[in-house]
Amino acid sequence: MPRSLAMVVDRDGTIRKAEGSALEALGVPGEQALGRDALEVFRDWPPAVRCVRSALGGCPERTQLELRGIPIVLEAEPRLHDGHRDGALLVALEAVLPLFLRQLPGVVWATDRDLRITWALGRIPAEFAQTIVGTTIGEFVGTHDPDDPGIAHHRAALGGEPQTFSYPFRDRWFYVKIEPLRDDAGAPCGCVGTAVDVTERRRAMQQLESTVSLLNATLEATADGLLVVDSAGHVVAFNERFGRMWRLPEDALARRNDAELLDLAREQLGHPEDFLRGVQQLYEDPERESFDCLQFKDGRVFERYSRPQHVGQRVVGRVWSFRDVTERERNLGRTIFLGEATRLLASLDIEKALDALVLLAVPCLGENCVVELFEGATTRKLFARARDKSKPIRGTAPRAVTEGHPMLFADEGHSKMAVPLLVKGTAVGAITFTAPVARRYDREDLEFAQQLAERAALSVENARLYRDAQEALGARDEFLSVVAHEIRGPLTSIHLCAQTLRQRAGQSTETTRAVEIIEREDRRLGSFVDELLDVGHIRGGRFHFAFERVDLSEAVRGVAERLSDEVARARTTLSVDTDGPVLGEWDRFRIEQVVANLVSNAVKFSLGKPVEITVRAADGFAVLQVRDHGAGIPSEVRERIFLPFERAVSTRHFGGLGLGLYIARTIVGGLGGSIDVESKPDEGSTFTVRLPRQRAP
Amino acid sequence: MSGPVLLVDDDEDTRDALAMILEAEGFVVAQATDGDEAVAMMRAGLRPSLVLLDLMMPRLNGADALVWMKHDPEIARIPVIVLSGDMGGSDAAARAGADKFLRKPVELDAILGAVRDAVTGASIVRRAAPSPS
Repeated sequence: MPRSLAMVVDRDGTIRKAEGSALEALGVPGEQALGRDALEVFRDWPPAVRCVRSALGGCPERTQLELRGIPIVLEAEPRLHDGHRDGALLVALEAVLPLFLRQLPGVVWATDRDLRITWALGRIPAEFAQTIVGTTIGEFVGTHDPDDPGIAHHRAALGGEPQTFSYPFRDRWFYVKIEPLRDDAGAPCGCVGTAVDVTERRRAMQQLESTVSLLNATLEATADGLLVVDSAGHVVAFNERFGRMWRLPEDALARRNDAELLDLAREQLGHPEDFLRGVQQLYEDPERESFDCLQFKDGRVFERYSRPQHVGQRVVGRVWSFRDVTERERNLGRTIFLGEATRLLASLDIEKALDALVLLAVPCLGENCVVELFEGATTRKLFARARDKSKPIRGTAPRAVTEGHPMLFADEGHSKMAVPLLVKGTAVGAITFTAPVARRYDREDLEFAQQLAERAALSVENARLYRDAQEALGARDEFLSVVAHEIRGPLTSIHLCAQTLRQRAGQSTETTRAVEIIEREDRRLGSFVDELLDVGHIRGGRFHFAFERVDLSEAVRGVAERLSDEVARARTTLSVDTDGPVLGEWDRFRIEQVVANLVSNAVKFSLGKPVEITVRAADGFAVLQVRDHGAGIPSEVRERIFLPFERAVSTRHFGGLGLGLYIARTIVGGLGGSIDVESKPDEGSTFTVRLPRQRAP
Repeated sequence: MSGPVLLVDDDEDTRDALAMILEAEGFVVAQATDGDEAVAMMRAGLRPSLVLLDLMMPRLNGADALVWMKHDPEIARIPVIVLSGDMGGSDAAARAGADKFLRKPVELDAILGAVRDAVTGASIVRRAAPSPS
């Protein structure tokens, strides 16, 4: 009990009431103080005497004195009765107590049965400083409402029940405790209360609550799963997403058993040892941040990030953040796969492409991939690959798929999907995938497989069309060859007979003319047939040369003479300009064919104007030029005339099969040379043939 | 040797035309429709003074017939002129031992010249021919 004193003295200084343990220290314990002269009691303490005298004189005074070594604060106040001085009230407390109370942001008080304050110390509001003693609780708090908690709690305490509550007063909040004051009989005769100003703390608490609420909302609002562990690895906190991502059951989460949760997580992973090792490393290096990817057995992929949690400088734990990137990785993987697959399928060699495709698909899309091509009702071609080569390849597509319907199904415990390769609504093949054990194919996987099947079907169709086109071309070439061959037989007979007739024509000019025409036409037919056969040989790779020493000048002169009739009929002139022999190693027959072709063309298109041939030797090359002054060849056509069946002019006026220049170019090319044309409209054309004189080894 | 000119060609019109020309020049002509028949005729004793041989024929074709001919020393001496529409035939013909190769359609002068050259020095049966005017 702190040393205290409460004393009432009358106007003469006689002690009328005295209470407190300090009385003993003053030498007047218990009742002995009553009736004594206060000034006398305090005679050993002059500051106290001064105080009492001052109060009796009407001025409150305060002093400090030492009572048995303990500092005591004495406060003396004048008492008034009807405006007249009526003595003084003395209160003494251990000096430290007011200091304590001044430090305490609050107030302590005592009341009587009527809730009138008999005693109060601490941060008393200024307006009550002089008058607090005697004020009722109600007057103090400013209400007479008996339901006001301040009053009600006092009453309850008076009833014998200690009270603890929070109370707002003048924009501050107080934490209040009230206890009953009991008399000697044990019955409540008043209250003792303490009120501590907890406004700041309350505000801090509210802010904390608000922060925590914000934090929780943030934790739950993120799409990432969050887990906080302490430095020993025990689970401290996590958000709902974390539980859901890792598929941890509610009860396991509630139990917060770290080992259990770790096991549940680990068994889902593709490489649990790596996972554990990674975690271990971080516990050994707590300051480190980490970032990696977790691969799950069932195909999920998580990005995992962590950083240490600090309080001040100290690491107190670690925060883990998990992001489900399965979708992203899947889409990325698919895009890359599809790009690569499309590239592979661009090949016209469909078998090679499909082989490469199944190679690509395993293990990327599944453990097994089987591609079937239907060729007729019963035959199927298979391209297959399995990740585990020891197992037999299984998985041809179910019937429904071969009829055009994509399917997800299960077979021998594996999830599978099969998609048809559709061309114009008919299935020309199918692709079947088998998933690894933990994985199940879903609608999205099936749609992706269909995209792949679309590309594959396109590729198959293209290959088929290409093959068909090649076959058609081959068939055409073959047909032309057969026709040409067949025609040749009759031409032989016609040729011989026409020549015989010419010899026997006699004097009749009419007969002679007729026979000459027959001969000419027969030669023309012969030349068409030769050209067709040559083209067939070129395209079939059966075009061969018989090399010998040829003098180009002589060959050209020979051809010019043979064509003299044709030249005359075209009413044009042909001049041959050679500069001595030009020898080379060529196929005589073919060279003559080229010359004849070029000269014949020039004459045909000469429009009556002269045609000139020049033969020169230059640097190991023989150069032949055939020049006409006819209509010329338009520039857009100039390259095309060397293609088979192409003409520079319309069919109706100039006839011919359009094969001559194609054959000529093939011959010249085969002899290691080149043939080019220069032409100006209305000025004519010049064809230049360059031939190496030595045969290339 | 004095024997006919043997024409071997599966085309009747070609044989007809050749026969007409050669007979007009005074040669005696025998005809075979394919290699088999030609070989049979020679096996039976025919010794032509010249064989005009087409290459592309059914059953035994010209090249094979030629090979057979060259195996028999007596028959190997008979000159052979190969007729063909095929350029490549010239190599095959030369390899098989033909004396000359003529490309179809043959020129009248070419065939007559080749036949005359081949039977030079041989006594042949000539019929009186009307002189050409």
